[in-house]
Amino acid sequence: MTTTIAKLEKIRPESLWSKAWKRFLRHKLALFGLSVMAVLLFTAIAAPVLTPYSPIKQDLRNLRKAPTAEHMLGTDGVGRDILTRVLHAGRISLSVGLVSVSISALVGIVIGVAAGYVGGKTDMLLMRLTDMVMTFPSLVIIITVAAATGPSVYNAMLIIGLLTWPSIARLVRGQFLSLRTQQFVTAARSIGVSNWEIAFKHIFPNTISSITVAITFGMATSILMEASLSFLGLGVPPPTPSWGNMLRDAQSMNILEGMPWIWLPPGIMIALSVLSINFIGDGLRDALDPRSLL
Amino acid sequence: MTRLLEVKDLKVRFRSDRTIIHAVNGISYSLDEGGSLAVVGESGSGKSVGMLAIMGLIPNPPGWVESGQALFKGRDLLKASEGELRLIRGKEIAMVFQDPMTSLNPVLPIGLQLTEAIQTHLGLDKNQARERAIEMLRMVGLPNPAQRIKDFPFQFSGGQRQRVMIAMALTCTPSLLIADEPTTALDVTIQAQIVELVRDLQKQLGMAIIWISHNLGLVAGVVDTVLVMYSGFIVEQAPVDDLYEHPRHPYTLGLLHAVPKLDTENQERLASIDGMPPDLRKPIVGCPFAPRCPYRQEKCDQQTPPLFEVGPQHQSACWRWQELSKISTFGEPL
Repeated sequence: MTTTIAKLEKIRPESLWSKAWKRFLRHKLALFGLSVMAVLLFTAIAAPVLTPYSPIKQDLRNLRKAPTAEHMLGTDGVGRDILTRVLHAGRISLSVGLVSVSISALVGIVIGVAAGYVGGKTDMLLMRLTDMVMTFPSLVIIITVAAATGPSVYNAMLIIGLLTWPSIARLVRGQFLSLRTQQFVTAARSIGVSNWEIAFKHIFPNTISSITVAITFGMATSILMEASLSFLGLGVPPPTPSWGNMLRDAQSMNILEGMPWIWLPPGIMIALSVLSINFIGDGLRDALDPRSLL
Repeated sequence: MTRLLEVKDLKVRFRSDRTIIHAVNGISYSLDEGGSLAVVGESGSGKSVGMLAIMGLIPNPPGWVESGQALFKGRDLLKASEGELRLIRGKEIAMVFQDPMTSLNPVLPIGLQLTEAIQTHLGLDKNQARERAIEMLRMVGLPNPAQRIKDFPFQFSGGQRQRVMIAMALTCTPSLLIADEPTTALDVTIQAQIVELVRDLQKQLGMAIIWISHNLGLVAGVVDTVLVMYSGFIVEQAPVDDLYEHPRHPYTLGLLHAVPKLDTENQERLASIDGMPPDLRKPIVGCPFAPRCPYRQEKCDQQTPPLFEVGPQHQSACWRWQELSKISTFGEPL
């Protein structure tokens, strides 16, 4: 009897985040995604330690060699070790994904908050701007910018970031529109909290869960966009490896048909990273669902 | 006693689609320091909107204050800037809302929400503010406040949340507390506790209080004056006992008649007032209650009755208030 009471007393309500984390851990696919992502991140960061070769230096005696013990994934058209390049490319591709999604989130949140909280004419103007950016033909813009400035990693990050913010802006705006009429906002105003504090201290924390999910999916999109840009030669310029520009070699028919070790590894990496990020996003969405939080 | 609040001819409008909603249609009342007032009326009668207008909390768009004055300690709140109002809200006038379930931010610990007002208005540092918040929670009777201050709203029951809301409203000892149906969402025993709590705190802190309610029985024991509202008009205003004993407006009569009584012998149906409140999208011509009033005369349809002085501090907006003194129940022929 006394032990049950002692036990009952120990049960304290958990915080929102620990509850969410527990729900996330129950999501098998999300856990799988998280583990894969962890491995990808680790191999990308530790790339120079993991392989003895340089990702850039050419070795013209070993052109397009099939996998051997020395070169586990073979070599490419100018004799560089594919495994080394795939790992180093992970650094570039993942950081392009990360940086461009950060730019996109930053712009999206600022515009979304301004539109959703201030409302009225500001909202109208900002949303028309958002619609405009959404209807931009991305490829045309990218080709123009790349042609004007020359392809570079930073340009790729910037372009992707500046083309993908509208979805986040719309999401944040929608959340702010519905949250700002909630009674707790009126209650906060009734004790003299300033507009700025209401927007960022009261409303914003309520949107973090959906923003987190959107950012996760946005990262997957950014990685894909980087890959397609680089595949077209408009993203990360050679010789720096990225998963996208490694796939460029597959543009020739005889490589596509006869030398799968050259294009299969970067392709698999793209698929794997995008898939695992999407799984993580699914898991986060379920774990952070506000309906199950309250 | 000094005048704390004097509202004159307050009119509030809302825009909806292409029509204008006449939510509050020229109400005037006053409240002394430390006094208490109840605003009673059915949903949509403009009671909450009238109070929100004083605090400058009408969302604009779609709403706006069309005209009027709200002199608080001699200062017109309706002309004050947002910055000035912000200094008054929470410090001078505070509000407790209807639904404690939605009045607290679900993702912030209550401590953060409690200390916010303290830090804004009293200029205390974080630790002092925390101390003050704990003291307030103790005052509203929340057990174990030092621990619970870290908890999130979902970890509290409805009654506890309303206590937290009251603590939040009172942290800066305002001179006026507006309680907007603070007990509607709670069950009866908790209602009684909350009413008791607010009354005690009112005496302790010497503040004035405005109770907004649709429950005549609830406010009977807690206020000095009752103000009855109908479709944005004040139809009757009287000291509480006088209102219950000598109602001088058919609507008040009807309301009193509709209060369920425990001691009725035969099980009759609960009385109700036939008809619907008027459409606020059109300006009201004549007496707003006329379409539902069993004592309606031709005059009622054409001219809006002013507030007649019908007794000491007792006002009624009915053309036939003198004749009404002859009857005691709603519907009884004159």
